Amino acid sequence: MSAIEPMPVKCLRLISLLKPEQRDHHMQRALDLLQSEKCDISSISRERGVATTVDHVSCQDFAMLQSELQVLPDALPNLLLLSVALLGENVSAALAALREAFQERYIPIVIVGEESDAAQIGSAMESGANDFVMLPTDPKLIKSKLQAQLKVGSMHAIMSQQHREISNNHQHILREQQMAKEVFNKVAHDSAELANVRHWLSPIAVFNGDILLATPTPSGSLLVLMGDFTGHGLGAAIGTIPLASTFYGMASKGFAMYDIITELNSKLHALLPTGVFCCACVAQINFQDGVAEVWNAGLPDCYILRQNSELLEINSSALALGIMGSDAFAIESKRYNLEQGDRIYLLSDGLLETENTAGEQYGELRLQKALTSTTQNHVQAPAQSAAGLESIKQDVLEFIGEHCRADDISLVEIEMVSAEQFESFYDKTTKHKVQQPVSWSLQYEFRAESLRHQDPVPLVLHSLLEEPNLRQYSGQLFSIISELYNNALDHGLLQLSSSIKQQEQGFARYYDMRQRRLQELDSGNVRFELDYRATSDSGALTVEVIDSGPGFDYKAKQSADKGGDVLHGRGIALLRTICRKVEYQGSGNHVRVEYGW
Amino acid sequence: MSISAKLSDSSNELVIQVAGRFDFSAHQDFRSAYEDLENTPQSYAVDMAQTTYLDSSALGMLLLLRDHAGGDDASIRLINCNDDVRKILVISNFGRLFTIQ
Repeated sequence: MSAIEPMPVKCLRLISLLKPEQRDHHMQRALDLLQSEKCDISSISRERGVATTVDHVSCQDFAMLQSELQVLPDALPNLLLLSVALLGENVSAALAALREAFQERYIPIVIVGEESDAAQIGSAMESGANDFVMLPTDPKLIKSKLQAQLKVGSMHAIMSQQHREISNNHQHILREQQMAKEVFNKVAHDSAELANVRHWLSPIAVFNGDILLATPTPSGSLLVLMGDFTGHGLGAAIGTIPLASTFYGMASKGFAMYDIITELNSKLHALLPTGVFCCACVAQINFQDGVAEVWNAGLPDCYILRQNSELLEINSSALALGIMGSDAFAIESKRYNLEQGDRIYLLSDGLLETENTAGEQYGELRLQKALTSTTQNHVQAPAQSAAGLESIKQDVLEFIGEHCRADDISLVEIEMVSAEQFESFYDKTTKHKVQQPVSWSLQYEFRAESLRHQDPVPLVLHSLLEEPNLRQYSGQLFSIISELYNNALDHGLLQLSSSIKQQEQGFARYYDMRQRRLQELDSGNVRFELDYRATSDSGALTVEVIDSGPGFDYKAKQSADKGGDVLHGRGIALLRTICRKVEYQGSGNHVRVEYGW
Repeated sequence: MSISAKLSDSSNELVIQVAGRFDFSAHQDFRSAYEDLENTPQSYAVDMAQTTYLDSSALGMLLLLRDHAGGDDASIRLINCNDDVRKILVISNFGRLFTIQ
C-alpha cells in the first residue's frame, strides 16, 4: 500500500508573473505569510506533505515564465500566480499554452488583477484559471486563497498517483486473467461443441468462477458439468484448471460418473484452501437407453422440461465439491427417463440473482414461467430447435433492461436426441491410418484383493485406447470390455444368477447381493487376454476373459435356446451384434470375442 | 454490514452477530470476531437475525470458522436465519456441517 501514499513535499515551488508594484505593494506580504506558516497545505495527507521551504521564482514577462517552465519540466511549480495584465491580448490562448506545458499535471493558477481588469479576469476564469485576487486586498486573505489552492493541488496529486496505481493494478489483473484464460482454454480445448448442448455463458465466465464442461464418453453418452466456484477473479479461476483436466481426462478413459465426481471432490479438497469450493451439477445422458442421471451439489434447482411442459426440479442433495474429504462424501444422483426432445437445464445462481433497474431479482418463478412457455412456443414452431434457450435469454434480457449487464449468467440446455443423432454431432472420423502392420498382445490378471476396491474396466480400456487406430471404436470397445468383465465377476466369481433380476425389486436385490459378495470376496481372479493385429486395410482385436469360477454348461444352454439369447441376457446379445464371433470355451469360464474391421 | 461477538456467561458459547449483507466485505471482521480470544469457547453460534443476504464467500467464511473450531468436532449453531438465508444454507446442504436453527 505504501506506493499509493504521496511523496512528502519537501519544497514548494511557486512561480509568479506580476507587475513590480503589485508584487511589492500587495503580494510580497502574503507570500511572506505563506512562508512563515511553513506552508501547511497537506493536513489532508496526514502531515506527510508539509513543505519546509518555499522556492519563489518571480518572472518579468510571459516569455520568461514559459522558459522557466521548460527549464524544469520535472519540477513543475505547485502554483502559478499571474497578473492578468501581463498575459497579453488573448488571455485564453496564453492560459492554454501554459496548460499544455503542464501536460497531465494539475497546477492551480491564481489570477491577480485590479478593479479595472474585471473583464479580463472574467475571461481568465472562463479559460481555466482556478481563482483570482482582486487588488488591493488584505494580505491575509490573499495568503488564505493561495493556501486553499495549494491544498487542492496537493489533493489532486495524491488522487492522480492513486489513480495510476489502481490503473496499473488493473492492467496487471487483466494480464493475469488473460494468462489464466489461455491456460484454461488449453485444458478445456477438447470441450466438444455438440449440437444438442446449447449454452449462454458470459465471456468472462472463468473469472466469475463459472465453468461448463461437456464431453462425449467412450460409451457414447454425454457427460456435462456446470460449476460455480466461490468468489471472483483469479481465486475463483484457479480451481477450474484441475477441475477441467481431471474431468476430461477421466471421462475420455471411460470412468463412471460416480468415480469422476469422487475424484473431482478429493482433488479440489486437497488443492483449494478452506472456504473455497465449487458448487456443481453433473449430468450424464445415456442416449441409447434414454436415461439421464443428474447430481446437484449446491447449485440452484436444475430442471428437466418435458415436451408436454411438465417441469421437474432437481434440487441440491450434496455438499459442494471440495468442502469435505472423500470419507464423508456421499453421492446420491437421481435418474430420469427421457423422451427425445425433452430438455435438461443447468444454471448457476447468477441467473436468478440478476437484477433489473428497480433492484428486483429475476428469480425462480420467472425462470419457471419462461421455461414452460418455451415448450408452448416449441410446439407452435417446432422447426426452431434453438427456441428454448434463446427465448429464455430474451426473457431475461427484457427483464433486466438495457442498462444492466448480464455478465454473471451461466445457463446450459441439453436436449435428448437419438443415439445415432448424438453420435453424428461429434467427430468420430479422425481415423488413424495404419502405416506399418501392427501386432501385439497383452495380458492382465486382476485378483480378489484388487477387485474388491477397483473397477478394472477403465484400466483395460485405457491400454486399448493407447493404440491410435482403436480410439475410433472406443464406444464399442467399452461395451465389450465392460460386458465381459461384468459377466465374469457377477456369474463367475460372485455366483449371482440373473434370474434374481426378474423378481419383484429384483434389480435392487441383485445389486445389494453383488455389493455384499464383492466385499467378502477373498479369492479368485479375472484374466484379460488382448490380442491386436492390424494392417493398412484391416484389423482384428481378440479379447479373451477367463475367470476362476466354475463356469456354466454353455452347450446345454445354447441348444436349449436354439440360438436365441434368452438365457444369456442382454449383454451377450449386444456383443453378438458388435463382434464377428463370440464363443465360450472350457467349462464356460472362458469367453473369447473377436472384433474386426 | 456490521459484526459483533459476545461470549455468553452461562454456556461458554461465542455468539457472533452478523447484521446486513454477509459477503466478502465481512471477511476481516468475521475472522477477528473469533480469532485472538483469550479463552477458547466450547461452542459457537452465528446469529443471523439481522442478516439480509448471504453469498458463497460467506459460506466459505463459515467453513473457516468450522475449521478453527475443530473441524468435524466443531459445535456451531446457525441461528435465527430468515427464509432467504435458510434457503441458501439448505441448497448448500450446510445442515450436514452445522446445526441450523
